[in-house]
Amino acid sequence: MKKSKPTLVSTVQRARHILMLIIFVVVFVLHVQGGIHLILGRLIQDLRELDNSYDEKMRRRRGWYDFISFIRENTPENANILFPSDNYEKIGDLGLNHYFLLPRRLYAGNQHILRSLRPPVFVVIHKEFPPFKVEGPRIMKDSEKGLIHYRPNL
Amino acid sequence: MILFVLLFIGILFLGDSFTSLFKCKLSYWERFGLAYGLGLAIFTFGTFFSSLLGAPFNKYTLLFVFLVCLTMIWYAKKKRQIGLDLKIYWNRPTIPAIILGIIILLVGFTSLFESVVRPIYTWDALAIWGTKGKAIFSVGSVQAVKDYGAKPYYPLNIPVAMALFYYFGEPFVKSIFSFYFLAILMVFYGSLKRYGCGYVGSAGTLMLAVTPFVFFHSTIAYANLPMAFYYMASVIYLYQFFQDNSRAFLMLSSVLVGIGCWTRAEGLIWLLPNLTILTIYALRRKQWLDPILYLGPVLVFFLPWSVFTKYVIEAKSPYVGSVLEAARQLFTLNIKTAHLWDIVCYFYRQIFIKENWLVVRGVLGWGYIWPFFFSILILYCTRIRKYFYLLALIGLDILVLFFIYYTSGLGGRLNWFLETGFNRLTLHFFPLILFQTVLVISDDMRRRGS
Repeated sequence: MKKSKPTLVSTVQRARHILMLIIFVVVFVLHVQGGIHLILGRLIQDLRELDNSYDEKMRRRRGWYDFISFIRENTPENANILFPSDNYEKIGDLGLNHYFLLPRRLYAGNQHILRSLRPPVFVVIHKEFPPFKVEGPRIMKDSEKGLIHYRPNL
Repeated sequence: MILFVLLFIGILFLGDSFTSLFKCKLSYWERFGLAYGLGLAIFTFGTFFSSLLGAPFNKYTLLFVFLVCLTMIWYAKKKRQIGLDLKIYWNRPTIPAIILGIIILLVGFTSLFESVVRPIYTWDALAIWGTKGKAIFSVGSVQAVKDYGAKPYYPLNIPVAMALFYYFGEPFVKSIFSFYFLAILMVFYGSLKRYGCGYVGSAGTLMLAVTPFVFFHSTIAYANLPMAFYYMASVIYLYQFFQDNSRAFLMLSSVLVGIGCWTRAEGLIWLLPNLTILTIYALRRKQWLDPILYLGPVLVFFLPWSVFTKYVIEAKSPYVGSVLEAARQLFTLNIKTAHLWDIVCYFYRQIFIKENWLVVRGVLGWGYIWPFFFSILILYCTRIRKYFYLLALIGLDILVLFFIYYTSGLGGRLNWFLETGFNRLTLHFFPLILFQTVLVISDDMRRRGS
């Protein structure tokens, strides 16, 4: 059978096909190798903390987890708790705190909000918070952090 | 554990029964993937309604909701004269399918293992999705989202799904996302098989499975991966409709994009590219009814949720005002070019700067997929016409992404929004980029007889 003569178009198409195959193989190898390497790295990290408890794992990832656990252990489930009003990723991030303190109701704010809450009410002590006077017994975690059980008529 | 397996089988059965309502030919890979995604969403939607009617969130209500959903589907099947479809679509598996199946199972198992071992710890997962899920589970009503969790105007598909899985403990909750990951891979591979991409399709699916960012999202309990599943599948089936003009695929795509609106707040914005391209197609073919038909299932999933947000929990989304303001600026050509330039530069850096490919600020990146897509696109620019609809959808998705960030930037925190969410928002259409690339490559392989 007679072989047809290669034209310019067919040569370009052939070159393009070869270039595509090279790109495909190189990208496939680099991508799969890089991806598997990263996934295996995470797997090894997981295997290392396989025996750790939930609290230990959370403590490693969320710096304030211990303090939130302290609040959970020292407040009843129907408590209303007043937090400082700094938000994202800080102690006053109510979105995050809700997850660990459910079904307690959490509020951020000042003495006006505090007075509107129904008992049992707790106020978080954290750094300069609360900047106003709160009457009631204190339950301290350490010298900086703790809780005040708000009892105005005590 | 037995109850968990039963719930899982129930979800698959519900989803598969629903999928069989659409008279379209799907491979067994696709049916498995869709069965999970559709089954879970229908179950959460039913649970949402039962809770609105005052039913407590407990085992008996869930069983009742499951039976009602199943009865409705079977009734619809009977009406449409579709027989009870219990046969397993089993063709003799090819070697690449077997190898792929083993690798997918290994990657899926790794994702599942990581989900079980690592607690929920990232911000969105805890503050938005996890808190709402836990609140619905412990308070026993979907109205709990009014008092607990950030952003009450976010849809409830994932929180209700998480509430279902909280029955079995927190490790099981994150498994929802690992199963979505497997579902994405199955639908992706099954669809490529329909286009005859055997070996290249297997390689593409493997590339998707080990893409660091996709794998990362299968383990952190964000709603972006479920959204990616629904959106990716909706575009794939819309593209199939453009190929064979089968209304079953159009409606399947519509249901999937509608569930996207029930999964994430920006779901409605992601409907725009689909609807725009569908309208162009409908105008060309003079099929005026198609865009209207497409909106039907979307409204079924979107309207109850928006009524619930406005009138029951009285939450107002701040995005609506920003979107309207951004749209006004675009239409009056009063655009803040500095904002737009920042977004384009950020996009460029994520895609073309090699340092960002594997790890970006401690978060896993996209690997080599974006440069791969662009190089193949340039190489085969003469065939753009053949893939016009899919490429137009991807192009519009990128434009919509720019619009979303232009909107976010109006509040003055553009850089923060870009760094915390830009990659996540590309997760919706990222698998489509790989899908398109694999289609072009396997088409060329067939032509050259390789």
